[in-house]
Amino acid sequence: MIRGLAAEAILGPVVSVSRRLGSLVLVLWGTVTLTFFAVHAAPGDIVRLLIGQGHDTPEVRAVIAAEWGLDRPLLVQYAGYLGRLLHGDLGTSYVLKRPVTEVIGAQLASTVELAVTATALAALLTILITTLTAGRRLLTRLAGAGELLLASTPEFWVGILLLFVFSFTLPWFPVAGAGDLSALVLPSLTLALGAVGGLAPVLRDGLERALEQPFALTVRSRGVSDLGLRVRHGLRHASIPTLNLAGFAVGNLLGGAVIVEQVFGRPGIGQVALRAISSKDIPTILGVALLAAFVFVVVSTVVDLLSLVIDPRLVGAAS
Amino acid sequence: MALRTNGVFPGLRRPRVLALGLVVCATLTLSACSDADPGPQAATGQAVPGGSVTWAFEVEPDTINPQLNGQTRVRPLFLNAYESLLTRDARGGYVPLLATDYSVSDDGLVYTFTLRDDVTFSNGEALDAAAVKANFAKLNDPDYDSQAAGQGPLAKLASVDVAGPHQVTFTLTEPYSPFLAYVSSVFLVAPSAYDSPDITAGGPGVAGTGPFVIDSFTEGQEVRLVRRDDYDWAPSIAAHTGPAYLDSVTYRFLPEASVRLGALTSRQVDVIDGLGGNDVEVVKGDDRLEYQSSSTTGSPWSLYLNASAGPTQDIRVREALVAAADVDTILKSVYRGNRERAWSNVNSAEVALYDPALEGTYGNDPALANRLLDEAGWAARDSDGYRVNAAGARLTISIYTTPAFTADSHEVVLQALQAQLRQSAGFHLDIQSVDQGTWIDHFVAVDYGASDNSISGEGATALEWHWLAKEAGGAVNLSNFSDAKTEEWLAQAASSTDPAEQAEAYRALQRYVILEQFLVLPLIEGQSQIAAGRWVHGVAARPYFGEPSNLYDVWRDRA
Amino acid sequence: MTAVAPDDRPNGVGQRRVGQLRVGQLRVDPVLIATAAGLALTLLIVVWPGATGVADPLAADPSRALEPPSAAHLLGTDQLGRDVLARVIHGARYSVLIALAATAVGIVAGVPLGLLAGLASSWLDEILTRFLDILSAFPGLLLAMVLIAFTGPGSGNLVLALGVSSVPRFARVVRAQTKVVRGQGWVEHGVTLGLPRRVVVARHVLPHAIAAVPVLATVGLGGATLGAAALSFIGLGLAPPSPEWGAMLSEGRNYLRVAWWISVFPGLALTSLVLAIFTLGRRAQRRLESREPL
Repeated sequence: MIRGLAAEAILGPVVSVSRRLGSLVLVLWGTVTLTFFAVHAAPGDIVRLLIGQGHDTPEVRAVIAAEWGLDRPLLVQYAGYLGRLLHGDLGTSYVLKRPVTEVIGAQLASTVELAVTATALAALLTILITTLTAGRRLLTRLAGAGELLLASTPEFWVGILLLFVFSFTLPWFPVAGAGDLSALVLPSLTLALGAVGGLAPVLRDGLERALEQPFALTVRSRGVSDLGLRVRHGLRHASIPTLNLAGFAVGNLLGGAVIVEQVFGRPGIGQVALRAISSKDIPTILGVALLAAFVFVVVSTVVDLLSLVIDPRLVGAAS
Repeated sequence: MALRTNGVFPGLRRPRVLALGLVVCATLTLSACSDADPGPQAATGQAVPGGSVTWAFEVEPDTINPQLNGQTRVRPLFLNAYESLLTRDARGGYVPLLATDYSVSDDGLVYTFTLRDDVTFSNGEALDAAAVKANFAKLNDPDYDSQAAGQGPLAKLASVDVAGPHQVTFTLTEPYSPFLAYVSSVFLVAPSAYDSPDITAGGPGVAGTGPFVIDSFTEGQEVRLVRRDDYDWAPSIAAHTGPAYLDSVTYRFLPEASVRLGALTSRQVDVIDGLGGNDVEVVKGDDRLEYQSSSTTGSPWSLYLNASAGPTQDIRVREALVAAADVDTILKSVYRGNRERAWSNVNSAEVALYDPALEGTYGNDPALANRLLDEAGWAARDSDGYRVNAAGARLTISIYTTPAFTADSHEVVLQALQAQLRQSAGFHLDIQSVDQGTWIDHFVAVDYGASDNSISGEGATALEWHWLAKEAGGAVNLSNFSDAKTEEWLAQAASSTDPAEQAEAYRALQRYVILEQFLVLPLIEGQSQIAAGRWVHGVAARPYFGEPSNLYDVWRDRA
Repeated sequence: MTAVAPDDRPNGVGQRRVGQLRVGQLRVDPVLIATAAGLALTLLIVVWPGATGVADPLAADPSRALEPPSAAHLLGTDQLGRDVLARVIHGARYSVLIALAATAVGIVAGVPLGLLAGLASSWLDEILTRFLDILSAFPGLLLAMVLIAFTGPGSGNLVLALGVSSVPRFARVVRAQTKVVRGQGWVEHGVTLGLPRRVVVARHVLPHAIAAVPVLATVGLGGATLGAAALSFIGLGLAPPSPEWGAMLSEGRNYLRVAWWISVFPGLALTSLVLAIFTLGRRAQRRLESREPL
């Protein structure tokens, strides 16, 4: 996404980097603004909306009025909202009667654990599959079909099947919870498989193109083995588009976590979001959504900056 | 919390003298699927202290403050950490717990409790008369619990007085027979809890007197409790004295039935509740597992038809709906014979109030249903097979359900009923799963066609909650129905001191609302079903109430 | 929608032009034919489910619950004794119509937005682009969940939620294409020749700018189908007894031990449909790319 905002002219790396950071801030500001106006544009009583299914008492109403500054002009309310978020205050859940940051914070570790493992697993599987299959016609076709199948299968269905086979039928992995590492295998594999379906074709494309390039012949002529060529040179050349897509995939992991946590009975942000929806806990929902957007934007920016490091030619490249 | 379908319920029996020292085997109310059930007594012989037990719950508590939570299914958790003045034996007699003795004045207005003098809350505060008084003052504070304060038994409470350091008296405004059961079963918390930030959500800040102490509550995951080593006031119905055997107890929330059962068969958890009909067969067929089922008190799970809104205002439509239903067939298919059909408005475990004469007297008569609907003006059918009236409106009965109160495959039963009523009589049951807030909105606005409900606890109070006018304490009068007859019977039962007279009034009420007014379609008998690994011993149902007991007497094999 | 769809890539990264299949080249592609036939059949089922002669998908017979596949019930019966085949067939309608409607929402809002951004002055383009950035910063499923939290569940809101989350994808591509077309000589010529600006836009820019939309829409359809099923699965979609595939899977998984057919068949149907859509989308994309100048 940030690529689209890249400078039109040839700019130095510093300008390029600061421009990307600037747009990061801008997009974050936009997401915050969007949520603020979503709350205000929603039909009906805003206080009732924010209370959700919590107790609607005059005291709670007074607290909300103070927190959101409801008696003040809209612009002042907006400034207050921005100020609160800048201080890391996502508001209060009136259903749980606790700060949203606390509600999310208590479950964050579990989701982070899941997302990090899934990302690592996805990267590993993608690299493994592509280096072994790129440029090999039959294998490519086979892998391609498998990847398309993975991309076409909903995550919850993959999760249920994995659960059925590797937990119910073959008792290899625990069914539920977030206790030990073994409980992490099936959920993160479910998330990773979904990502592999999208990532592997891209990396393979890149790898195949890299292997067709003249440098590949040069390297090969120096006696480097085929595998060495693929791993040491090909992957590097093919990594930029994959990195972009991977950033996109990582940013979306939070969405996938909702499903996977539900299927595997794992605690985490996804469960927080689902429970918030079922109790109409708008402040918590917005908190989760903002967190997800924040992660997405930051990951995208990091990916962009990483791309600059990997391939400095991209500095200042037009979109 | 508008709906508190849990059970702290007053009863019929008013024994003047406590049956002290009465030991009742908790397994009397427990029918294990195998004769190998050790039972608490057997368990004491070889009990090994230590270790921990994990129990997978189907339903997650929306709060773990025991005074604010209204979910029947999470009560076993509270029984570990919180206690009440009295408890009950298998025959319903009162047994000392935090109170050693009690008396009721001859005019039925003053209840005096003598407290144990050696009990402390887990935070060190002493359980004394002032603490009890503080609890009831708070319970009657609408800011604390806007739904229960000033309602039902609390509405009859004139004052709570400290008569001595360990003696507390409750004075009523008028005689009210269900009061004893209510007051003796309220979970008491340390008064300092009311100033704790944990008070709404519950947690370690809400100290109790039970054999375990709440250590942590992780939303979406679990509640963990640890043993209280200085616990020394187990009631006489327990199998041992002193601290509990287990070091810790974890209640994990696993809403998926398949995941719960899978977790048990793979030994990740030790006990599960919420067994599907098919799961019961799996458990029975696995000799490492034990299936336990016990009848619970209170009212059965039933469908209440709204008499003040929608098509069910017409008594003919109500009669038609009850007639069109073939409950036996549905239960047989959903639960594979592992659930009893309900006929009365109290569970059959309520021997005194249950009316066996109601059995087999209604339902499964589609011809009658169709005739009644034709008469009631719902003669035509639309293209989807639903009945419509002259104005073209569909015969829609809206039912709202909410996950926090839906368990035991009840949603499958409702869907089966939905299909059956459509086929047999052209009813359109519109079942919608909504959040609790929306549910409450519909409830308050009386904007629904029918509503499913059950109350655990005691039948007499369940009937009050179901059939008193809302303003008179009918907290779950889901039929929105009250007339001179129902008022008369309920008043008669509440003020009477003669158990036989009370029972007759309550039975007349049930016959009236089921057979004459067709306000309720009883569906499933209250039943607690759990499955436990055989490596865990002493898991039992609570005497009289039938719900799963706490884990005080439970111990496990050491690996 | 939470998984990365095969061609759901930001700014078309890594799309390799494959030139084996040229337009007009009369090569029989069995995969394409099978896919197209399958999709045509699906459409027939969607329009006229009765044509298959299956039972009423809502008709329950509790006494025949959980029966394995047999001659009477080719795909078995579910927990209420309903015919799984009938439910799978009638369920196609929900999945396909919701996906089509959601994609339509995405196109109707996304294409004009992209076109506007592509043609507009740089400051308006900047604003619109950033707006799209903001919108796509929320993961699709979460954005849909937030919208449903505000509006409540139901098929209309489901369509809206899925549609809105697909807007940036359409808008981005159309914007990029518009910019490319705009920079080409013949558009400049048109303007210098004195043709009104809107005529140039309508006759020359629009057709080229939206050339990629059908391909994008195909991929989007697959994504929306998955998204709708996911939302139904977590209980934010359609209410029972609708035979929606995601909801059927969600209900059926509790019977996986005793009756695998309740969840496996809707799962297969869902995967096959999305697979067919993605396959078609991928082929179409290759054709489009191989035809493209550049």
